[in-house]
Amino acid sequence: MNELNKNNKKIAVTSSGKTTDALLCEQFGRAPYFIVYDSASGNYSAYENPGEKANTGAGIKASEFIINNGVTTLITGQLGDKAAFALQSGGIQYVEGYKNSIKVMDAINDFLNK
Amino acid sequence: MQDRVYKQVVILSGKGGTGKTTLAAVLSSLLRNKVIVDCDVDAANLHIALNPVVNKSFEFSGSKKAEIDTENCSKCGLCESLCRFDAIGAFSVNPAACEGCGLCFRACPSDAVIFQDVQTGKYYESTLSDGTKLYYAKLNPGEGNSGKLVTEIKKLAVKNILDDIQWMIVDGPPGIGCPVNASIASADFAIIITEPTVTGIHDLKRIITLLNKFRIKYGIVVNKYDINGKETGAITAYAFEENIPILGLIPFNNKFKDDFISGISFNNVVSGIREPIDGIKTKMMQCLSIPFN
Amino acid sequence: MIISVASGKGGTGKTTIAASLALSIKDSMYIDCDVEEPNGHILLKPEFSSAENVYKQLPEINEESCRHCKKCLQACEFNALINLGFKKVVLDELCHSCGACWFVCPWNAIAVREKEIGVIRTGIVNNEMSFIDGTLNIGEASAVPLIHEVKKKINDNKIIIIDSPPGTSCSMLEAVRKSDYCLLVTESSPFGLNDLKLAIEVADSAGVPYGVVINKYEPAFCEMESFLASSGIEILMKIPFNRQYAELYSEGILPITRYPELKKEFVNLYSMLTTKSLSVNAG
Repeated sequence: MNELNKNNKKIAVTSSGKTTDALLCEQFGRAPYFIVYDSASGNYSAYENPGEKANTGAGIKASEFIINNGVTTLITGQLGDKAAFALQSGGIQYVEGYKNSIKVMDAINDFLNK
Repeated sequence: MQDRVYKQVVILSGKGGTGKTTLAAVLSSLLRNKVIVDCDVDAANLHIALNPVVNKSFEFSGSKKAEIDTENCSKCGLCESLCRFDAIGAFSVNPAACEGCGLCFRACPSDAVIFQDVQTGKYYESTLSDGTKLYYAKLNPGEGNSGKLVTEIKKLAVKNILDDIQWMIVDGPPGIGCPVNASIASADFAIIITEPTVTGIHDLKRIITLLNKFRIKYGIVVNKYDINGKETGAITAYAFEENIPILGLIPFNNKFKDDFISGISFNNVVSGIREPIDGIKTKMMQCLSIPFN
Repeated sequence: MIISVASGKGGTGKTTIAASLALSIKDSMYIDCDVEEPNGHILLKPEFSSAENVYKQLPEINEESCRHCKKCLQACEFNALINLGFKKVVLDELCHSCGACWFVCPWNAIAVREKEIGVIRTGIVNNEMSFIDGTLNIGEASAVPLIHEVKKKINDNKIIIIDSPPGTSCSMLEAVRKSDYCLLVTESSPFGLNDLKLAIEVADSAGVPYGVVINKYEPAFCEMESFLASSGIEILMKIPFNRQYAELYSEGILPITRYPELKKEFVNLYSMLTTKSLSVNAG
């Protein structure tokens, strides 16, 4: 991956907690938090996922948040069909396959080092 | 990347009535240091077999419902004419039919509709006689089941998991909809239990498509295999072609059934079918590459 | 007369019983409302005459007329509308077709689009019994609209047997609603009893009278009968557990086609139902 591109990424990770030390959450739609990491500055913010409490369409609510908050890349465990469609419609890159045994920061580093 | 300390195993069947709950109960009894989650919230049965003591109960809201405030209602009938679910009649909302869309609430010219979250189920943390925690839920009859309740009980189970826990056994819901998706999230392995009937392979394929999409490893158990040798053969041949492990074949067992229904405690009942299920446990651990203890 | 056949627990033999009952009645129509996994056709082997697609109505947002007030997004309780900056996208499978977004849009920017949600097939069994089934497309969030459409095929000149989806959620309620009588199928086991109690709650909330059929009956499980007796619920039929029946079912064969004495019991069951004073389209 182009090094230049990597320095300009806003990476969202589905998280079980509010810091990059928290474990990654494999679910997307009902993840409790998103950690949004700015690869240029190295800073991050934690957000409550509006999809977590949704009665239905949790993945859509979550996707809407990701799309409307300037995220370039999403890192998570698995996406359902509808969430994948929504993210694609919004032009968001996503990477699946991460497990909830690793910390958010480790997932971010793993992605950046690919 | 290290693996999680405990393994999450989910038990699924395309169709109901294949013995999923019984397998979940017996398999759990053969494991140590486990937590059990009954994700079949539509018709939870594990607690019937395992007889737990409830420690805590929680209210669940999966839907909003509308209610007409008769004091403010001008009886214009607009709500009834707009409702697409036949849920309003005689200026009153039938909660069982109300889908929680909120249209009547938004349309009412007299502000006479109360529209709010309502309790649509309950979930429980309970303990078995050996100290194992069992989490289960009861969705109110007639309510919709989206996956939200399944996610909540799994979250509760994970939140309270102690360091020495090695297994989370999840009794999954039947079918392939959103509740099943929620039950398989974060699973390390899925056991698909099926019966040898003409629809057996068809039901299997549907679940397998879903599990492949979620990249979860799985194996197959054929229950009551001796009811139909031909269909059992077809399932095992299919599994062989597709490189899917057959974890075990369980024979139809009258004694187990008779003991279970005559009220003998589940722990004593299972001795009849422990052997084949022990074999399933061994195969499952091989699939998970765990050394035996 | 409309008779629904339901079961709290899956695998109790609901479809077998619904199909058997339908075949034991003259001028009957079997309707398979288990749209997520219809199995009636396997046992009844109808000759199909037609298949029609079923559609639900979806919103179609006209980008030119849309003023981005976001009222439609706020009105959707099901998160079926997603805001992608200056474009609104509809998530088809989540839409419940409630009409809220159309209603609230001040700009008339929302038109109607149709989307296929499933298929209804019509056929005939043994050249005499009418057969209808519905199959829901995978991914659709709700089976209820399709079940509603399938039930519209009810022919008032026939005795209707509705095969309900298993379980006790909204799909089962939709299938059982407005039927004249509901047969609740259970089995002699603690699981069967537990799930029967849940199914009873749904039948009660639907205001439909009901009675119980105990399949795979074992007299040793007395808890079932004492519960039903103490609740004043009638047992209409008991089918003893029979391994031969299980084997036939696994081959896709209805036991009544091989056991005439069993068929007689279904004929009797129907007579019992007709002697109850049931009005057409009660509830």
